[in-house]
Amino acid sequence: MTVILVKKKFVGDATFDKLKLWVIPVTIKGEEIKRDFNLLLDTGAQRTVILPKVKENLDLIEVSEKSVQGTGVTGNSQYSTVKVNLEIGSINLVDINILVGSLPGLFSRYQIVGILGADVLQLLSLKIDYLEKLLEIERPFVYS
Amino acid sequence: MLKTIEKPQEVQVPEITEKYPKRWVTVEVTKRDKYGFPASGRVLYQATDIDLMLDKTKYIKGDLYIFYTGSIDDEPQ
Repeated sequence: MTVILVKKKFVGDATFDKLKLWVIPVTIKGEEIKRDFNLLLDTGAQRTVILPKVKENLDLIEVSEKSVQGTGVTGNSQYSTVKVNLEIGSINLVDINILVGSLPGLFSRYQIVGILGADVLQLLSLKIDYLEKLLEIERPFVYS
Repeated sequence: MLKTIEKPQEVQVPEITEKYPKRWVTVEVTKRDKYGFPASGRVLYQATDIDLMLDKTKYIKGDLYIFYTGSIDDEPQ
């Protein structure tokens, strides 16, 4: 088994210092355009969500017209789905379906464009060290 | 309000957060750290509003990093 390990230190990070939340740069790749955006790492969220404006910015195409109903703290929201490649540091995640729509609850008032949920995080091994302000992310590969 | 940065200099990401506090910035990434995260770049735009920033950068080519420099619970300015 091969493991890709990336580390990110959060010393001097305003969000971590104030809220103890982990916001990490994630490269979102569509057909032609790729960009890094900071996404909030949220182990309590089932799905990864980006704002519609980010979908427009990256010229992402919806994979189906069928929308997904989501229930957040503030009520129901409609989400569409896009297929993207994600890069978290040097970890590549290919053909990931993520949701496009408004962010749930309190997150809608945050200065973020998306959240990284369990659908992506379940592919990874996370080590969160609050004392060292260190996030370690592993991506295990098993070659058959 | 969105502001274009004239003759942007290459700076490290922590310097960007100090120089442009509580702003959305678009950075052209010039260097990544050994784990692949953006480390240095040139600030192309700064704004208080993310929507303006995303509209402005839609047709810009290059390796861009768009992020908020403050704490994410800051009140919109």
